[in-house]
Amino acid sequence: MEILSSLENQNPTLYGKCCDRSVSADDEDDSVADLFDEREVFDLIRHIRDPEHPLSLEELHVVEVKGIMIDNVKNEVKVNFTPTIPHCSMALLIGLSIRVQLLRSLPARFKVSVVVSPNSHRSEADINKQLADKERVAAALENVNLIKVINDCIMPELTG
Amino acid sequence: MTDPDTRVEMDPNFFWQLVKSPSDSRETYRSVVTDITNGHSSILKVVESLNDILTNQDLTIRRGGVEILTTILSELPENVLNAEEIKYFIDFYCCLLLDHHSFIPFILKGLLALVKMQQLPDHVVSKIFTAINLNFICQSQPQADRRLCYQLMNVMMDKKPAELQALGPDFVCGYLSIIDSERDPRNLMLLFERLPEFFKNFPLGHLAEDAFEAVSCYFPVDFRSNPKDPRGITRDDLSSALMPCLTANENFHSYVVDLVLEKFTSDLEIAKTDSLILMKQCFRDFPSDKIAESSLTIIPVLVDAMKPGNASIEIQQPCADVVAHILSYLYYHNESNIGEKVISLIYSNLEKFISDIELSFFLPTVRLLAKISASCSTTCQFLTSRMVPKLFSVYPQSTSQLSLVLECFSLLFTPCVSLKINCADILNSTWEQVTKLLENCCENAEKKILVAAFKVSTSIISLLDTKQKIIFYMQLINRIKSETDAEIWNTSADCLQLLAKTYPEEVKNLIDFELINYNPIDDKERDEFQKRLFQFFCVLAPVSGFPKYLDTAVRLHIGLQQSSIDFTDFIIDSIKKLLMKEKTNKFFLAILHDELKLTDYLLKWWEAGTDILPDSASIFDNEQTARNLTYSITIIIRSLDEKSQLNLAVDVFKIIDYSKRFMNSFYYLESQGDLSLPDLDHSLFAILNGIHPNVLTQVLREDLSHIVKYLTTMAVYCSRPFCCLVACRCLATIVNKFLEDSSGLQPQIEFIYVSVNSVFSKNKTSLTINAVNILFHLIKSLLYRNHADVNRCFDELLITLSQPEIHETIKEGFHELSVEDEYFLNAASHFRIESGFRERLFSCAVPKLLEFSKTDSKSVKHTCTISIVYLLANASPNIIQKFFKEIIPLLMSVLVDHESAEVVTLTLDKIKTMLVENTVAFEEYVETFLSRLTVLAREGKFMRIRIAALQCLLQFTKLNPSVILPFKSKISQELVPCLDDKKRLVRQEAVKTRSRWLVLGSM
Repeated sequence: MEILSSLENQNPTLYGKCCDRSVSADDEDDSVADLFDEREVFDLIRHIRDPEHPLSLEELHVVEVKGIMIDNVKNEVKVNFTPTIPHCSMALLIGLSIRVQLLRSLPARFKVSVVVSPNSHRSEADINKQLADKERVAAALENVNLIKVINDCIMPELTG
Repeated sequence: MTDPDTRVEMDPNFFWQLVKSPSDSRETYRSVVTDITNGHSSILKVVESLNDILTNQDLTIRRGGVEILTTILSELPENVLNAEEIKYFIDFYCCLLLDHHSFIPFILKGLLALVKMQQLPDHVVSKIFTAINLNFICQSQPQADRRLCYQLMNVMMDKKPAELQALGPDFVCGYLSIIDSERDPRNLMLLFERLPEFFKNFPLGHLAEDAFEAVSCYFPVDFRSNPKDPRGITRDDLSSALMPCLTANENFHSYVVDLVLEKFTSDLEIAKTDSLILMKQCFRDFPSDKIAESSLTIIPVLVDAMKPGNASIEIQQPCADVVAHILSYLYYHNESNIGEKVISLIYSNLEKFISDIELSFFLPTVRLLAKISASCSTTCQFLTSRMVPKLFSVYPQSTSQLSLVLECFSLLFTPCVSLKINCADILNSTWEQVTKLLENCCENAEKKILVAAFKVSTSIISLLDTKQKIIFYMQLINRIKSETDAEIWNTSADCLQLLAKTYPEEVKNLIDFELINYNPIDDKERDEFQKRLFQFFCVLAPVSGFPKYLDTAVRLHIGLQQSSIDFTDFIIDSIKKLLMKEKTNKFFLAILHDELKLTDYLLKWWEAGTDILPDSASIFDNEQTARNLTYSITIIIRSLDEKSQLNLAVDVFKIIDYSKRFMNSFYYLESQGDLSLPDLDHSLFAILNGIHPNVLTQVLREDLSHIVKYLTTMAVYCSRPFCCLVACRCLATIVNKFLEDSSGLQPQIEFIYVSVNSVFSKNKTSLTINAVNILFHLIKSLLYRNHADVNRCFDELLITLSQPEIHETIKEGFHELSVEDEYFLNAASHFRIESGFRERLFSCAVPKLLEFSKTDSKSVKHTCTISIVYLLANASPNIIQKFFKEIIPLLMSVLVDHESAEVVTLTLDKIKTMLVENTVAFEEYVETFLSRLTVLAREGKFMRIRIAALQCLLQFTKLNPSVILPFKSKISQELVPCLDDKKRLVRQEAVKTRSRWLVLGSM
């Protein structure tokens, strides 16, 4: 694939994965309602694969629990992501993958915003603007090739 | 001996006939051979008789003659021909090589038979070799002929090695050209088995490289074995046979090193793995003066592969293995200079990866280095003295990191323990830091740290000095005395169990002085301590020399005079748990039975307890305790040999008169209408449940009728359901294990039917329930032993479907039938279990239940459906397939209107399993199922129902895309509300399922 033919960051730093969320007694109690929290949102996006490497965004510390904010009252979710290098050309694709995954996985009542962590990318403003533009996102998702690449990142287990 | 009348005359006509009709000649050859062996004829006469045939102008006749001669020579014993005769035939066959090519198989067979002869003269093998080399192109021949040629060469090398060696490079070159390019795996296996010896014993000289290339071309072996032939040659067979060929001659060393380095850089995983194996082989077969220097070329490549991210973990671990092997080889062969260079090289390359504890490759690198450290004492000292201070330099900040450091300690110090290295000497002040840290961690408030520290300290106890040891022992003992957290207590007990294996005297002293003499003042505290102490004795019991503590405690606490109900229950429960854990440890169970007489003690206590103990009734009223005691005794009894079982059973049975008991219970029933099973009969079940069918038959043969009558009466009329259950189980055990069917058992089964039917006719619900339970036990017992009466038993049982008040019992009964019992009716307890009982159960019960389900009665229909669901849960796919069309509507009816969460979940789980096993069968019903499952996923009352429905929907995505794609957008839309389910676990499942539906057809 063209997109993977040359690696921008050939030797990324690897970090450990966090443990799976343990199931508490409340989780198993039918009568208790579980609110959405940062960890739940993190679990939705931690497995997304980096477009360049066979590694997850979690392993590269592109997404972290501390970069996620959720407000169950205002129905808002904000995700900050940190590209591995400041000139990463895949940042927009990564942001788009996170956005698509959250659109598919969170109830429609939530307003989702995905932004680059402050000062982590040279084109931070441009990327944030594009990711916030609903029409541009929708148009991008109409592109068959692009959605295939995003699906590859979101569900690597299906494409191997 | 051959009959003189049938002896074959050596005349030309005889062999002419053989040439014309070779098919029936086998027996005749034997006769000719026997005549030659007995001296009635001679090989000369045979040759004379064959003269015209062997020199005939006709090719077919000539070939027939050669075949006859070859077959006779092959059948001859090896001591019959003399040297001159052998030489004559060899000359003949060598000349025959110039004749037609179709003679070759017979020539090779003939030569092979000749070189095997005992009186093989000198100078003939060189003649054969020269003839073959000149007139025979081996690799152009069929596989069988090539194989014959290799066998011939092998025999020649075995019998006359010096003669062939004298040929020098001519022989080596000729032999290599014969075997070169062989491609059949059967022939290759033959060659690979022989070549190492050839390479060792024949001077290769300037042909060493050619010889190496003749075999190295097969490395790494790329071969796929025939999957239909499980016994055929595999890739691994060829590969492991090839390795010794590559290292057989010490002159190959430089070629091998180049070869492994080249192949190791390949992308093929198998090339890497084989190269690593070959590297190990090199550092075993080659002398150190040849190979030691090469380690400096090999090690950097291996170290590079061990760096995180450079190779898969499946390759990195074997790399570390090979490095460890090389280091061990170098130090063993006194190549310490090279060894030091190697280990420095490894450490300097990998050091940076253990400089940051946060990085994911920190622990994997420590693991690799620890593996290398275990190679030899020098390496271990080198690495330990550098890595342990390094660990302190990255001193942890958080709990998870501290537990990581403790894991590293365990990895690094384990080799020191096995290599008996004194860490205090090599680490100096750092060792004090280590022991101080461990000591602190053993007192740490964080459970994870504490548990890890206990484990590490236990594994390195031999490295601690006396003072440190005592401190650690006391930390463990204090936890045993008073720890309330189960995980910490269990870890402490497990650590002491490990230490008891290595230092039994020290642990015994600790028990005697610190635990047995410990006596808390507070009553409650004392009771708690006694329980902990007993549990600790249970943990120690399997260690040699420690069961006596358990035995003493049992006799002390469940004696006949002093015992509290609560404590007795606890002790019996602990014994059962211990025996369950050690149920396969025959040695331990034998000690309990033979030396400590625990079985006798428990049985006698149980028997006598009813009369003597003031609280006995209460103790035995606890069904769980009675059950625990039953199974504890069963576990011990079933581990005994038949003789011991018989002795024990006879002792117990000789004191019981079942005839009298039956009569007593009968009279009692007449007067009171109520019965209670004496406690001895629980022990009766414990014994019957554990003994072998032979023993059971021998013990019960005389009294079978009375005991069955007695147990049947108890099973129906006992007032306590638990007593009825025990009686049912005793009956089922007898029916399953009793060996004499027609004479002994069948009348008793008939008696049970009669009794059950008489109960049914009384129309008393409580009694009918008991009778139904008897039938269920009987069915299970008969099903397991594959008895013909099962069908009749089901018929008797299903009559009761007309009584709605029995329906619950029937549902429960089918549930019990479909599950296996851990303690009862299993192979471990010597029950007779014929394979395929699940299939038998399903094919017996389901057609009958399906028939009954056609009734108008909603309750009967419902009972049949639930019963089928229970049977489905453990049925095999093949048998389900048989009834698929009938079952599907029933399953749908459960999903539509069943109020029991358990039944709906069970049904959904089964649908999921059926979908995994066979998606095609569901294609016909996709729409019906999808619509119902989406409703359950959204509106299911309990979250486990919603989760199970979502999991089924996920499985549906695996159906043929053309069948499910039309539903893609509908299902994706209908699952949206599930993303906002109030339970997180449901939401997680919904995300997984919906995502899969969304990408359907686009991946």
